[in-house]
Amino acid sequence: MSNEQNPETLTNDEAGESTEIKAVILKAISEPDFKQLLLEEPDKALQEFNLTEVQKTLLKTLSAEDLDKLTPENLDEYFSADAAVYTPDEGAIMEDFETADEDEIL
Amino acid sequence: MTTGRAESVVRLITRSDEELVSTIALMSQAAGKEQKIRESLRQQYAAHPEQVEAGLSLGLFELLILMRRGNLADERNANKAVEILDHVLAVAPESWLVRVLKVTLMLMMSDMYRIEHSILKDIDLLFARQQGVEPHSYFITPYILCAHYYYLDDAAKTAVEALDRGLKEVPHEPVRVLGNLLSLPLLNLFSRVADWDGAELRASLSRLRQVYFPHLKIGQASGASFV
Repeated sequence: MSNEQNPETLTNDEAGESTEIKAVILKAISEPDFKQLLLEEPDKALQEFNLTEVQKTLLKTLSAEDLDKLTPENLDEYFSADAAVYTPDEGAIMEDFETADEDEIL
Repeated sequence: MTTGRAESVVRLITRSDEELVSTIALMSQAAGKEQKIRESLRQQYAAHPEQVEAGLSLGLFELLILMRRGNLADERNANKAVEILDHVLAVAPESWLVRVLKVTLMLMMSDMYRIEHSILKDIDLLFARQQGVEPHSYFITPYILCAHYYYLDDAAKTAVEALDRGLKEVPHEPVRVLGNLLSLPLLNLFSRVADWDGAELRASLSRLRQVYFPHLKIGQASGASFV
């Protein structure tokens, strides 16, 4: 088995640490001055963050109203890729198929 | 399903991917700005077609929009996104994530748009490249995509076998990279499997969810948006 993986490869243990984009949003919703700067002079506001051009361009599309809807409490939901994705209830099926123990899965 | 020889070159998930996924997840929930964001991403891509990030961002954006809508209203955009992801793969064929997103999108599209041979080829490439490196729990994803393919091909038994093989071969550990992004193929298939002909497959998916996505909510929408 090759061990020639990219050294930047992310493992489960390293996942979930805060991202730069989340740091920007957190600062914008907790520091009104920074929020104002982000809206009026985004390039200046974003200087201190390590963001790509795509990220900077997208951040510039957000308005004051958009930022007002974000709070520290609901932020994780907004950063979740599966938010608002509807799936049918699993429960009905699981009534017929009991939840398996780990030992039974293989 | 066939598996080719182990490929030595594969680009697995990196910290940059986590940044990108967080960004697009946030932007995809900016209600009323969908077209503006799409245009921004298209401009970025047009300006830098050689950069993986721009194409990957656009492809992921269309996938998340399509998932949230739960219908094929955006199929033209999704089809365009598949074309872009194809182009990204021509530039970076080693990218595991780009290929997974492309297959996920194609499986969501109607028969008219689906190019089935290409789907299986991409799935086989994912399997082949995964064989060459130390395993991660998110390697379960191609098995789910494979099951989806066979389910759509009226081969539910083969679909269950694909999931069973995944449970046997992929380390049993919750998938924590990229937030919940890699649960989307499972959610997608779960929502497609009909009660009357897919009870066994749904049960297999439920078992698989227990192992790899134990915190995943099934049966409800969280509803976050800028609305």
